[in-house]
Amino acid sequence: MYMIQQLKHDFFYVIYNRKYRLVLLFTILFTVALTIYTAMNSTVGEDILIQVFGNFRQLYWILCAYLIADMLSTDYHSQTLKNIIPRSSKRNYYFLSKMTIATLLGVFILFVNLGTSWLVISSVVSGIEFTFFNFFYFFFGAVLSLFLFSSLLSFVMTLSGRETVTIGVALGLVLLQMLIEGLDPTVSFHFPTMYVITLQNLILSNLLTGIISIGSYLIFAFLLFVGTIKVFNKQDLFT
Amino acid sequence: MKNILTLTLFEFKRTLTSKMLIVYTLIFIAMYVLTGVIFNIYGAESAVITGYGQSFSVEMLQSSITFTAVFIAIYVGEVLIQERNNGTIKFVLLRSVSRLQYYITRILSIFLFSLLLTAIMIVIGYVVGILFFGWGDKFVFYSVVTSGWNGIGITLLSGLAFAFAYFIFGLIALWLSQFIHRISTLAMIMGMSTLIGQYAVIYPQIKQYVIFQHLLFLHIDLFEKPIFYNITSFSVLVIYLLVIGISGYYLFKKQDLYV
Repeated sequence: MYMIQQLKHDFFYVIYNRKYRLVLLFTILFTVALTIYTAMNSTVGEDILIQVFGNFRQLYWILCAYLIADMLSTDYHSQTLKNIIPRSSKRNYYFLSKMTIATLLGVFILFVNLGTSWLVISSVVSGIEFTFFNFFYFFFGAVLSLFLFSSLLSFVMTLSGRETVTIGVALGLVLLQMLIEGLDPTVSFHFPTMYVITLQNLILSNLLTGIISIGSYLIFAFLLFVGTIKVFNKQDLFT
Repeated sequence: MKNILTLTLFEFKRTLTSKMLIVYTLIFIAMYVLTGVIFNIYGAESAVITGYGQSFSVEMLQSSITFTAVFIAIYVGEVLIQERNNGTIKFVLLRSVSRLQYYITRILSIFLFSLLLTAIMIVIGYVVGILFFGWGDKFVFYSVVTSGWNGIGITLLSGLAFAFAYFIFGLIALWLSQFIHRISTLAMIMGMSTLIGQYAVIYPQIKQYVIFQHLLFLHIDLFEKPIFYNITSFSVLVIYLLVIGISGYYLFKKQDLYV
């Protein structure tokens, strides 16, 4: 019950907050521009959607780092934790709800990008059957990587208690991954920033590696969440 | 003048003891060590460096564009947005400090922070560079090949140019921060601007007038381009400084800070 209330609260925070609408508008406009830019600078083929997403992915992760950090730090920033926490019987719900909404928001942005680029390309080109990543792996990879990243940032947020540290770590980690993701695929395929496009390959090329990778994601996300709750439960949030 | 000095020094001391500075340093160390590892495993093609310890520091400056931009934006958020949100700005302005003096201290703080961040990067660059490659027999930075103290001098000069470009970028963030209420939003906008802004650098007609060109190349152009080109670049940045500094102050003067 409390979890549902918290989820509703966070959901409406996203719905009514103007900056999320701006992020959505930015995603649509930028995707349109990027699709046109990609189509003009390369041969339009079946894989055009993959190419557009490839160009968008870095920016997508910066957006996600921001959205997750913003969602997790909003009550710290506005000092409204003391108004929310007494309503809940357990503090676990607070971060679980934030992480869930942040993950879903990231997935939603991903599909907005995909839908927009498909619409733009379809409106100017006809007779081509577009290829894209397998939707199940695409969705599952996004959920796993976003959830892991959310739990990591929750941990940083509770430890530091500061919005600036959280956004610094979030953007710093995303940029570090981008720096090294083009190198050895055996390592970089497991990075959260790559997972959305590499999960399919990981599983299809070697099922055991794929399962170990997914298992590691779940275990790390769980451990970070437990760590967050342990710290959060002991914090004095009433001042 | 005394007020300006006291406030700027206070801000600088606060920065030196902040958690954020530790986070920045750790991220830079991770980035530099990773570059060293990548170079050792995959060779010169995969990294932007030549593999000489004495030039590693200056070579790494360019690759940190988005990191540095984000860190500068977070710092700007801390010195203006945070003070405004927490209401602590009122404590300063209720004393004998004018808004002009206050705004100048913010500008000076950003300048000092740009220098500090560059100094941290240079020091980390030397330490990591020496650990991975040793000092090396020569200093190689684009067409400049030298060694010893000359190399250190070039690194420091290049670092100054780099810090100056990021100081101007920080001023743009300061100007923008007057319309933004969250530090994370400012950091995201400034970080993304560096990714999108790099597309502007493609066009040769305008690139010298775009800040992103100078974030990437000012410290290199200093040694690679003719003197007239560099004078034009510095003039462009000084014009940025004047226009953004003055218009930023007028915006700040009109803000309602008493709520």
